[in-house]
Amino acid sequence: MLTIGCHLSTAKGYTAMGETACSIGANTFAFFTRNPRGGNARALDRSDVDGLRRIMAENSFGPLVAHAPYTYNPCSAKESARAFALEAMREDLERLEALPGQYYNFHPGCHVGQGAERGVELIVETLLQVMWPEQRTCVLLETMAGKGTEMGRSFEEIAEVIARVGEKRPELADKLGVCLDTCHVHDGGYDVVADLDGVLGEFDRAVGLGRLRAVHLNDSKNPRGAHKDRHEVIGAGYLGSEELGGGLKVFSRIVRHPALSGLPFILETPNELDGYAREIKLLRELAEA
Amino acid sequence: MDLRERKTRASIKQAFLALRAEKSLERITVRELVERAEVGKATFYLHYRSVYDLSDALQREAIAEIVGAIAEPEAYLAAPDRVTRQLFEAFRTHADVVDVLFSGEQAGVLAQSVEHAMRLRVAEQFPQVETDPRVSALFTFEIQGGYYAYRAARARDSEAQVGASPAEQAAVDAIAQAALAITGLIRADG
Repeated sequence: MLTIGCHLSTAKGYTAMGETACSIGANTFAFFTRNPRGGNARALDRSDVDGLRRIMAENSFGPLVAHAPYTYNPCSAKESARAFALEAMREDLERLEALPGQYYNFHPGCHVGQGAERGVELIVETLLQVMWPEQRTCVLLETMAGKGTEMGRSFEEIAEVIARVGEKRPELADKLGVCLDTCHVHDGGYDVVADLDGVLGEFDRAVGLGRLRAVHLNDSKNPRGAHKDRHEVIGAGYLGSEELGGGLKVFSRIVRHPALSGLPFILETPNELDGYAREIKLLRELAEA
Repeated sequence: MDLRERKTRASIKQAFLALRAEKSLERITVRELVERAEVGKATFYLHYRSVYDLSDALQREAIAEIVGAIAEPEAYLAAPDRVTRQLFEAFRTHADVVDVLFSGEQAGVLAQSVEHAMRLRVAEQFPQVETDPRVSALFTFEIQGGYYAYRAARARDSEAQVGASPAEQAAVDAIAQAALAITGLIRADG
């Protein structure tokens, strides 16, 4: 069975997220690790977390994909921004140990003119400081569209970060993985529409498919290589719309691909809950057809 | 959504509408938006992925309100003239927000989105609108054609902004009649 869900609001707590997920036919979801109001995360309520665990067990959920807030920039040129990212990521990872989620996804950040080489160095430095060998959570670097000075624009760039962490602390590298965003890689120039096998082959050569732990399933408002990062609802963008050169067959191939089988698929499409429910239903049909 | 969250969203929306009335979507930065809304950048990113995401969300909200203003959108094929009139009434009521949110490059999004929302409602009782290519094409023609005819009529009519002028009323009457005729073509397949 396809493991699929969408990004949910943490406002009403963990049990409520589990209930909402079930109500839209989801068996995973993504959520922000912290409510950045005042910089402090909500204190964990054990019974609330246990409620979510129960729902997950009863409904055969797959792994959850926690998401770091977009405001972290571990490779900023500003010391204060890097320090904030470091502090916040460490706190997030500590808190995630008490949650059922197994994945922590983050945007590698923007090098803001320092160059990609320096960007890689800074991300590696951050990861070495926020991770520890016994942690349960796997940290996922997200593939990015490459707008502006965004890091993670190519599989090679992500592979470089993982390799360098591995050189210094091999025991930490085991806890590193990748979240592939279909809109981002398409915007980044990879031909998801016509050559999914080729794209995954390239990923395998650069990073290794074993590192691929989650998929952000999004359509794109822009043509391949646009480096824009504007998500579209499934079927209305350059991946899923026949008018734009794609088609639902593109998503069908993604959700049925053996290399992606069993991974959590997270929708980040511009939708409200009813729209997500429809997309989840559609993608389940495509997966089972 | 609690009260504080609603207030945050409302101030972000107001700030965005003010900025959007001044310039194109592409030129609005999160920084100026949060300054005007008097919320933190982190708070903004808790709710939206980007300025584009915010624009998409507000567009969806507007579409939902427009389609929600129609008493029984699923009765479209039974009474297309009545639904058409209600639809344009809803456009007029929401004109201030709609004109801002769907200006410039976003202009084409409105007709498509309204059609999509109507289609979902109609398909609940009349699945042919999704499954039969001929019915589907006629439905697109009906909704999007009607919308563009209405918009062009409004653009030609200098008094349109203040309410339903006689010229606008005449245009809506004509579009409602056209909707009846097109629905006749759809039913002929029935």
